[in-house]
Amino acid sequence: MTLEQWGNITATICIIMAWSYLYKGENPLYTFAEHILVAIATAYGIAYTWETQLKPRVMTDMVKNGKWSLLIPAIIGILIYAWFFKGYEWIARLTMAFWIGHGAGYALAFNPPVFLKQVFDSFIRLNSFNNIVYFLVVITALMYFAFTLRKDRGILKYGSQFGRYALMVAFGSAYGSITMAYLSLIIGQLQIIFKDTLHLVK
Amino acid sequence: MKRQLPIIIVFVTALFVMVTKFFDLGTFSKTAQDELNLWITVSSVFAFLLGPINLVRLHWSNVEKKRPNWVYSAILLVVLVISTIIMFVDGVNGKVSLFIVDKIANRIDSAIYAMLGFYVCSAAYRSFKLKNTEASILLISAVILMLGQAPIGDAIIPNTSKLAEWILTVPNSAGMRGIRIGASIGAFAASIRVILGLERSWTGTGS
Repeated sequence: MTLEQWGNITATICIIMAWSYLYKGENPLYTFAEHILVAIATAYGIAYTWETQLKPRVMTDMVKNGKWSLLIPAIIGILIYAWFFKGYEWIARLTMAFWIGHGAGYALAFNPPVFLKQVFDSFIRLNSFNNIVYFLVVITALMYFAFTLRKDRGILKYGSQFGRYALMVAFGSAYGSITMAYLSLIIGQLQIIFKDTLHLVK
Repeated sequence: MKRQLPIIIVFVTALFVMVTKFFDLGTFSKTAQDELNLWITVSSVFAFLLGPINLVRLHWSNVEKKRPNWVYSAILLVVLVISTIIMFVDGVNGKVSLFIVDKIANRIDSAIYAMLGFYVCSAAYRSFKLKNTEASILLISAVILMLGQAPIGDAIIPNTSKLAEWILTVPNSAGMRGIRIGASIGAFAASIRVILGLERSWTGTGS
């Protein structure tokens, strides 16, 4: 047997182990598959980060190119492990603070141009049915999300109600698309079992 | 100091990011932004073992205390060690590593993810039973989308694919834009609260 055939048999066994959940909920086969997945994914994460990130930063950037200033962020990153030492957990918060500060600053400095463009682009010329629907849905969806305003009467009441219905159409279509994606994934798994491994389908 | 120092670091880091963006500091702005982005990448790379260490601690403790289902924890630890050794020796793009990832991990991952397809259908049946107007709209929209994306859709109801496309490009796109704008405003407000130290839940010391 070739490696490819062994691979298909292994893949089929793995799929059956995972799908055994459909027959009997949390059963030994499913739990076994679940733990194997977590172990391999973690191992891959460690090896991948080492090979593509850590090694180039240390060997190339620091040692070869002499960029020793990277020792500072390296130390900041290592401080997160203080979380595991009782009494020193607060040190890990310094690393968290660095990341959160960068994220918050980035959200204030760089995100507004992106979402403001979306706001500007929503004010389109109302010269077609589609444009009118588009504009109304954006505005009424925002009305629905304005939780700090009283919406028990007037335009806000009917606007937010329309927004709610419009959001349901959006969620329904998103749901439909996701379901179709799941179905194609199921078909893909069945093809591995019946076509690639058992050769029952051509 | 243990409580104030993280808040000060948040404020200083955020201020630094904003200063490099909003003030014309010549080439320094670009250099500082690139360097800070590199620092964020490097610091997160060096923190990469946080998850694996937590995982090993949890499962090691399960094995040590012989908690229910400890055998699976033992299996996880053994597979983790063996896979890590193989991937370090063979390389992440090596033949054996790719076999383990593609034929075992990816297959279980896809199968579990695909399994949601079965549950999505039964959950839909339970929740969509036309209880109210909103559920009816959601159900009709979802059915049109599914029929529109399937080849048989147009044969059952003519022009379903066109209607599905219209739903995707007009109401769906507009609704999602409304959600995105709302979320961005929320993120903006949350960022200001974090920078000013009003939101401290991330420190684990309460707000």
